[in-house]
Amino acid sequence: MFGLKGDWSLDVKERYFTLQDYSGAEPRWCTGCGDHGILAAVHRVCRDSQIKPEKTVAVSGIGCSSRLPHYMNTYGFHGLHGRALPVACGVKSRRPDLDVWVATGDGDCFSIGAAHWIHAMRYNMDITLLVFDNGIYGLTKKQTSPTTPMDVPTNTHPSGALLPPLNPLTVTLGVTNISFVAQIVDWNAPLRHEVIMKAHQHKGTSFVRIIQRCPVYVEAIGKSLQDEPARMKLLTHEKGIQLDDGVKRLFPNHAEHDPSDLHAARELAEDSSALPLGILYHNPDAPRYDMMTSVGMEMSVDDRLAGMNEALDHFAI
Amino acid sequence: MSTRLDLSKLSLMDALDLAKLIEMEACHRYQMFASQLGRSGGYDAGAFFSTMVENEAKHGQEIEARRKALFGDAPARLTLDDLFDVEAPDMGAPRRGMSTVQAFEIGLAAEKKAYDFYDMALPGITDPDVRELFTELRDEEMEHVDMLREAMAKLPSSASAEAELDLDETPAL
Ligand SMILES: Cc1ncc(C[n+]2csc(CCOP(=O)(O)OP(=O)(O)O)c2C)c(N)n1
Ligand code: SF4
Ligand SMILES: [Mg+2]
Repeated sequence: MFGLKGDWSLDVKERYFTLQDYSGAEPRWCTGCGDHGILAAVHRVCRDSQIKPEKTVAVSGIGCSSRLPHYMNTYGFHGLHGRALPVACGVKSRRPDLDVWVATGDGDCFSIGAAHWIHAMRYNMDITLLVFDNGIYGLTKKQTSPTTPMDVPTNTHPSGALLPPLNPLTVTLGVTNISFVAQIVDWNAPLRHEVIMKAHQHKGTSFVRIIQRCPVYVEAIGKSLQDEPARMKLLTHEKGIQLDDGVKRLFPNHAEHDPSDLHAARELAEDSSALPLGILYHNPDAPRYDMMTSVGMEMSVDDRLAGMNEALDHFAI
Repeated sequence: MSTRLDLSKLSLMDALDLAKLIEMEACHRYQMFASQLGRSGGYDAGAFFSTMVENEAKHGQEIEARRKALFGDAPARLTLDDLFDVEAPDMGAPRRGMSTVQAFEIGLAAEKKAYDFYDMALPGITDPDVRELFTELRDEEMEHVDMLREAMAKLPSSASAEAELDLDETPAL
């Protein structure tokens, strides 16, 4: 071609995305907040999967945790309190080509957003749903959330919550058509990475409850678990996650758990003696609503109008 | 802590590059902690993290000099993307208002983590030069642990004091 040097090439080079390509604004979470580690894991999973930033959307509601889309160099939607999931489902149903992530909190998802949580789980659209559960309303400065333990004083309940906390795992595992349920703690990087990676690879709604440290308002929740690792049970399996011995060493309690066994998953979730960590349930074959809502997406506007007119004609008198 | 590399296949040059990157990753992380915490005067947690920035940078430069002497400017095949919190403490490790002693504990755990990394990698490494290098690096990490322990023992009792948190600094919409 005229003007091009002999050693020039017009081959389109394959793009390689680094962590920097997924990093947005500088995080404004408190120093020591568990959200920093979760964000780092999301960046890493995006990088390791080489998903295109321009094909990725991070959706959230309102809360400290819901600030995540600002820290992603992707598309984002910082929505309304409790409404992350309806927005995410809307995005996925109209743009099934996009990689949709949801960041929500225990207040955002389990309290004001509870109805959307149940239905989104049943819709089973291909969404990676990360619930940052710090057991408190963080952004509004320390009010009781549905998962606040009874012995933790808050500004709304200075003598501690009046009712026992909701168990997000048993609730999720009770919903029809669920396909992926996992639990992790924010402070174990390899576990965090493995589970979020598997959640992202899963085609369907991947529910990951993350026990997240809020050292400012409820330090005791994360600290008591860190100080007593025997209160957690690490679940590994060839169909779930497998971790190095170095990681397993940190958890005195571990068990082999086949994540295709829903009954066993429910038993683990109900066992109050140990908090299960890893993948509790995985069913890659559950029907996905986004596969149904996207039927006919390729039709032109004219074809759609013609189809609608034809349908309406049935009612013409 | 991990890398996605097959460590048994590392050449000496790759191993030196990896060791340098491990120090760089830790150096960047401490830099982030130091800037998050700032300085409130005296030898506080922020000051400790700043010292660690210098220590890790120095160790990285030493490794880099060795690599250069042996392999010149041959392009490195590894990047920071190939590793993952090997010596760098976890992102969420520091806390605003934390004491100097607590900051030291983070540094101590990170050095131990680096020791474990080399120690666990060693049995799988067959190249004698890489083995020698990893053994040396592992032992250096243990020296760093001892150095930190010694320095910790000399800290005044005020180094255990935690500062009050300013709740207005938590996020807002
Ligand atoms: C409709 C509505 N109700 C209440 C609020 C006030 N509000 C903002 S964030 C929040 C709770 C956030 O808690 P959570 O979802 O657990 O997030 P965290 O800050 O703990 O990460 C509340 C009640 C709001 N913004 N909108
Ligand atoms: S208030 Fe708690 S949850 Fe919110 S950023 Fe600070 S530590 Fe994190
Ligand atoms: Mg919360």
